[in-house]
Amino acid sequence: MTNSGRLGAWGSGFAAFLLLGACESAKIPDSAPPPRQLPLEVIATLEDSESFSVSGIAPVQGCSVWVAGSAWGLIVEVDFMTGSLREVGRLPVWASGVRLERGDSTDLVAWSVSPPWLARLSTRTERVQPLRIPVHPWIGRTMGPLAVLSSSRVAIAPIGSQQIVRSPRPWTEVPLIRIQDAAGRWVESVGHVEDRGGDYLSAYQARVRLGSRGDTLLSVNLVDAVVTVFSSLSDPGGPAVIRSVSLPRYFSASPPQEEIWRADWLQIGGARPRIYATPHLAEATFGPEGRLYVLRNHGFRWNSDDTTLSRQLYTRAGRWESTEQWLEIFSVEGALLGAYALPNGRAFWLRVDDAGRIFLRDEKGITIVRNPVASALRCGGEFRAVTLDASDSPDHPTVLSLNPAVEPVVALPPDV
Amino acid sequence: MMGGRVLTGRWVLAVLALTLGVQIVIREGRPAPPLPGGPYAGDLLPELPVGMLDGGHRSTLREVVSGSGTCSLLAVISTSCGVCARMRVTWLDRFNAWADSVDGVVRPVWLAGEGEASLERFTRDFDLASIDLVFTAGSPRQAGRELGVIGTPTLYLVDAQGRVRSGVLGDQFPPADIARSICE
Repeated sequence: MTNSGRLGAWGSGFAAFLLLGACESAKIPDSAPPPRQLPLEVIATLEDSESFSVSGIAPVQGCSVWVAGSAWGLIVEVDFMTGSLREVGRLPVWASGVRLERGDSTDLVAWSVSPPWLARLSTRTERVQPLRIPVHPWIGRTMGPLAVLSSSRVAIAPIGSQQIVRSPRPWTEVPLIRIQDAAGRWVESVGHVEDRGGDYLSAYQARVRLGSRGDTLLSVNLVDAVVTVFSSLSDPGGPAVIRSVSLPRYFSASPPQEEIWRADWLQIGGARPRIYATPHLAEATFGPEGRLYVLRNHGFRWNSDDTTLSRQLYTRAGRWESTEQWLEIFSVEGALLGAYALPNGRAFWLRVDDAGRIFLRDEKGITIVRNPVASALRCGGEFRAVTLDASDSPDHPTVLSLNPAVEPVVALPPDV
Repeated sequence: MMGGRVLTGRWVLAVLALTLGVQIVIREGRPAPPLPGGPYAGDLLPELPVGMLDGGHRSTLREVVSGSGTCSLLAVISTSCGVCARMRVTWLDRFNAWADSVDGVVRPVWLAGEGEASLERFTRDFDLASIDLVFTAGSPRQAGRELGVIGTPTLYLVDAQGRVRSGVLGDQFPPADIARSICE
């Protein structure tokens, strides 16, 4: 082979190597083998309709469930034995994306981020009791994921939602979780948000989901997959971290990075932050028994699809995307009980009840599967699929009324 | 045999170089659209051609907004934006509460880029009579560029002289104390 021939061969080999390297760098490799996934048994599906899309679900008496409409907060009861629907009424607030949580006794808790709103919802009287929500030192009144505790207290992670919140400079120390009593008064602060630098990284890495077991508060961080157990809420010194457990990690994630473009002519909302991150968990929830149910992210790849505007505003086009998800269930001690393939491949969020059901919110609606670690399935249901044919509109004829026995929220004393 | 290998290597290299070159030419040759910009605090609103939904009266945005001699809150909306769709129900009550706290007259104006028919369909079934509904009569893209719209809704507080005083991206209002100092 001549010198030029060798050069040509080396050159083409090197170019091919570079191309291969560029392709490989767009994928995050595994650092540990993922667990073997078992199938889940689908019990039933609640499918979205043109006029109703689910944003929240919670079990009520018997085997029925209440679901909330994402657009205008219409509550619909689904009889799980027959699949029949009853439109309970619209929540008395112009809120979108309302979530529902199990409460104590016959109450549910309804909340939304936009606008920040929190209320108890009696399934017996079908009345609503709005609760005061925390004033966050960074951004004012804001709502985030919550857990209902004993004695009607509520633990709230005010900036734990998907909303990206700017942290102040100089840094202001804020609690990660705030606990309110039944009247909505702030009674306890738990943990703190860590300063991760940047403008938005601290709030981004404070994305947690909350739960409780007895009088113990639990939180799980979606970004780094760390579960924190706090000491009893009745401790005289207040709750403190007694244990932090890292869940298994199947890849090595780089620290989240931010890039911000500012429209200088807009004084409010003009910052357009973009976070480049590969969170280990897509979502998580604690079951009523204290077990942890997580939606895993896996197989992150760089998706370079982007809008023309974003290509102009940011140095990098695209974002990391998880190409695979599955469900993992952990015991209260943090042991992996099993990994399970999702029936529709992906899910946005999930809820678990004490009747042996897991509710997976996916792109079609709610897929209800049998809880593989529950002792029994108490609510099997007789229907397989029902379309949520309800009218979630602002002019729905029934608006749930406020609980007259409760003082107006505005009469409550100011925050501590 | 050896000569064939050399030729193959050169051809592979040439094809790779050609591909790279074509990509660079395509990328560099395509003119990038201008970066968004907008009216800064103190700038006059642009003289964009607009029409008013109540009767189709044509004018310029600056004339429409500053014509009443009062402050105006100009909301640039899109008929395909989900937040804007909710605003048809929720905005007016919130605006009235905000305007009350401003202690001055503030006139609400909505501007949509999608044209008269689209705005008429979008607002038909809602009680928005107290809002001046305006549509762009020229190029919506040009209007969006001149108004610095990078998302909807975008709100501008405009003083009685037609000068932009405060800009907000999203479904919020300018701080009432700022509005008070401008509009009282």
